[in-house]
Amino acid sequence: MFMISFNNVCKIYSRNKVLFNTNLLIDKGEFIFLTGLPGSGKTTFFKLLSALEKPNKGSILVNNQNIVNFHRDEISDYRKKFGIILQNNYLLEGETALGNVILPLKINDNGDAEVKAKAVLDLVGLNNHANKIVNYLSESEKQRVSIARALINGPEIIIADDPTKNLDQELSRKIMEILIKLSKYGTTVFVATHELNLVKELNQRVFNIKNEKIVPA
Amino acid sequence: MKKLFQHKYLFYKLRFYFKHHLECFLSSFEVPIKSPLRFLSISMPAILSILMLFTFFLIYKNIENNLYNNNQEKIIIFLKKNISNESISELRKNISSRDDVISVKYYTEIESLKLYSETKNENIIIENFDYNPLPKTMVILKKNYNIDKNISEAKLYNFLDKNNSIELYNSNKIFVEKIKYTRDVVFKLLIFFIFSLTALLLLSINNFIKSEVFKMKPEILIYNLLGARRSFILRKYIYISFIYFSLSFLFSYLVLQCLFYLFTNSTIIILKLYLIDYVFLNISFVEALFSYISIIIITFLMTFYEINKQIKSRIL
Repeated sequence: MFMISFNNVCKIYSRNKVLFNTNLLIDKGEFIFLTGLPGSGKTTFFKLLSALEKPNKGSILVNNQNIVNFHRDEISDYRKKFGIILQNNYLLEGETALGNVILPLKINDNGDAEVKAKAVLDLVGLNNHANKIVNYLSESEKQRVSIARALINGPEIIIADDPTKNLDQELSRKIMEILIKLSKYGTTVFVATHELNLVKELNQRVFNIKNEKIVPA
Repeated sequence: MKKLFQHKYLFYKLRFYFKHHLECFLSSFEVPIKSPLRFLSISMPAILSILMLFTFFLIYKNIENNLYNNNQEKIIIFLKKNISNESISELRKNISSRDDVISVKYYTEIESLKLYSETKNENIIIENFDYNPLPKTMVILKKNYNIDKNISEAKLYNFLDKNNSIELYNSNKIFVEKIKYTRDVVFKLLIFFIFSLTALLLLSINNFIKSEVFKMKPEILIYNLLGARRSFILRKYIYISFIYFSLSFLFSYLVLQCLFYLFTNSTIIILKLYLIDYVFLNISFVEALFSYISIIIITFLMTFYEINKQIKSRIL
């Protein structure tokens, strides 16, 4: 039984077809690289998977549940299983790094939030910046805060849209290694990236979005 | 054991729920306490609208209360000197039998003089009974109707004109009419102002909430992205609107009370000098509570609407 299955999924924005009759089967704990030209539909795929948008046609089954039919609160609960890393980071600018990382735990009323948050910040190399306001952090540090926030909840699925965009090679590699490690513990990880060298180097499953379809590269 | 665990879990959930409520409530006080000037500048449109609305409502209420009694027409009849007691009682009976007449009072010469001295506040006259220019008097209190519609009124004046026992009579009809029409015009103006100010208040609430929600847009999107339920997101912003408008209301109410005591005391002294009996009414507790609840309900509805709109908006 596959964890995620896209069945004949279509997503059309006005007259622009982004995904058309797309099928995809992903197992639990897989690490997937998603490549494709800018505007090919990587972000749309993430939106559909995280139930931020609904497809025009088709079904998306996650753990045997069709997320397309989810109600508002079910969608919120479903999103709690996600670790989301986006290009724009989406951090609370006036909050500290720690305050941002703690957010998912706050929402899930999880205890020991601060201890966990500090441990995750340490993992991404930001233990010294925990109490710094996000506004004063560099782009690379913001990116890492965003990664730490995605990891803290022990998510079932991680979607990362260009997570290594602002990071140097060494740090990019380190972050990818963390994500791969997480996938080995059972987290399904999707990473959209343009860094083909890194994709080749890490030797993981790669999907390419081309001509409105998601195909193995 | 399972039940106990469920109860424990429920207790934990409830504790988190109330803790989050408390956190949101306390964080809403951040701006009013840390930078009251900023709070004042943000809330000024709402404070002014509430204050003006209250002021106009108070004027309306006071006019309604005080000028309502002036709706009665007063006719003073001076009777002829040689009039008999039988004629007086017959005249009295005739007048009081009319539908529009509220009361008829008869005064002898001395009583008339006393009444006159009381109204003029000149007690010295009472001692000088030897010279009394006032005749026997009757005072009629009657309802004031619209001139066009009233036939019985014309009949009463016809009767008074033709009656042989009456020397002359005088009525405050014109004054009552003037008061009545002035009151009507003022009422219409006040109603217009009250409606306009209510609209202004709604606009200021809407504007405040829109600007606050717009400022918090990234925050709302992040919470939404991280899987926070709508109630969780709303909680924070509902408290902000609640605190801001409660404080605005309180501030307006206090300013209104200061203005009320400042102006009514001096106005009462001036009115007393002109022998005008005027009772100033303040906003009652029920009226204040009703307006407060209305404002809070409107605030809640608008916050719900605006945040829902933001939650539904596209995230990425």
